[in-house]
Amino acid sequence: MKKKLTCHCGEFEAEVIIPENGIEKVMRCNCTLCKRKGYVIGVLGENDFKIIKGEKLLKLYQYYTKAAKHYFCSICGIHTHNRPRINPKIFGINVACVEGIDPFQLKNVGLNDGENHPLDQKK
Amino acid sequence: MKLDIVVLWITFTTDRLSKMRKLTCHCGQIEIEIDIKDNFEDLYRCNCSMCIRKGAITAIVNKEDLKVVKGMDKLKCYQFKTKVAKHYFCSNCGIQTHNLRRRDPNTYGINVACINDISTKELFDFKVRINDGRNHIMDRK
Repeated sequence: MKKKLTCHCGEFEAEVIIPENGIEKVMRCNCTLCKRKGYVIGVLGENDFKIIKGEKLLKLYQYYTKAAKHYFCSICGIHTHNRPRINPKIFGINVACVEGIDPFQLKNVGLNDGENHPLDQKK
Repeated sequence: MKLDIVVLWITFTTDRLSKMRKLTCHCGQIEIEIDIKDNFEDLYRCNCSMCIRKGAITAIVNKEDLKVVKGMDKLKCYQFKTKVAKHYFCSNCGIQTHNLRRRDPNTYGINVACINDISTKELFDFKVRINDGRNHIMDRK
């Protein structure tokens, strides 16, 4: 079903498609950036996220390999979504920004070991 | 006897100094020094409309125990509703480092994950309560 995803000030809005039974993969991540963000990430497919308004107010943050793209609202500072390094086509969304989702009520929140990112391991 | 007192005083002072901690955003443009008096005994995540989106594990420090040592001009402040609380984030990487609390503007809430000498394991092992900011005490009739 289609849901609204907003930052706090409401200047940025996206439409996301959330499965009837909830997002299948939800997690926190322990990498240097995500642990500071602190939010629960929901993984969505490349066609499940559409920006409705405020794209110009989004700020992009990149670091290290600069493969991943991390977006936050330049007005309220809320990190709304990212395109992960492991697959830059998909979306990692801040589930707390989606109407009707309470991250504290989610039962299946995993922990992603971003501290030991698979793409950083020696072959 | 006097020597014992001196040793005790030195131990006490060193102990106090050792609790000065450095806190940084992700890109490193913001550096903050804090003096944590308790040993992270009361940590929370808050469910108000703002903090739930932040997601950060928060500890409280007195206003005088927090000092921005670098990047003051890179900090952006966001306020809403009553505009008492001040939510600060790095304008470059977007990390929410600290906020002046509406409940008690003599205190800051700090993003514990930004404290440099807390290991990832420690961070994820902390006992964290949920603060019911959604029903803020100052909004109740």
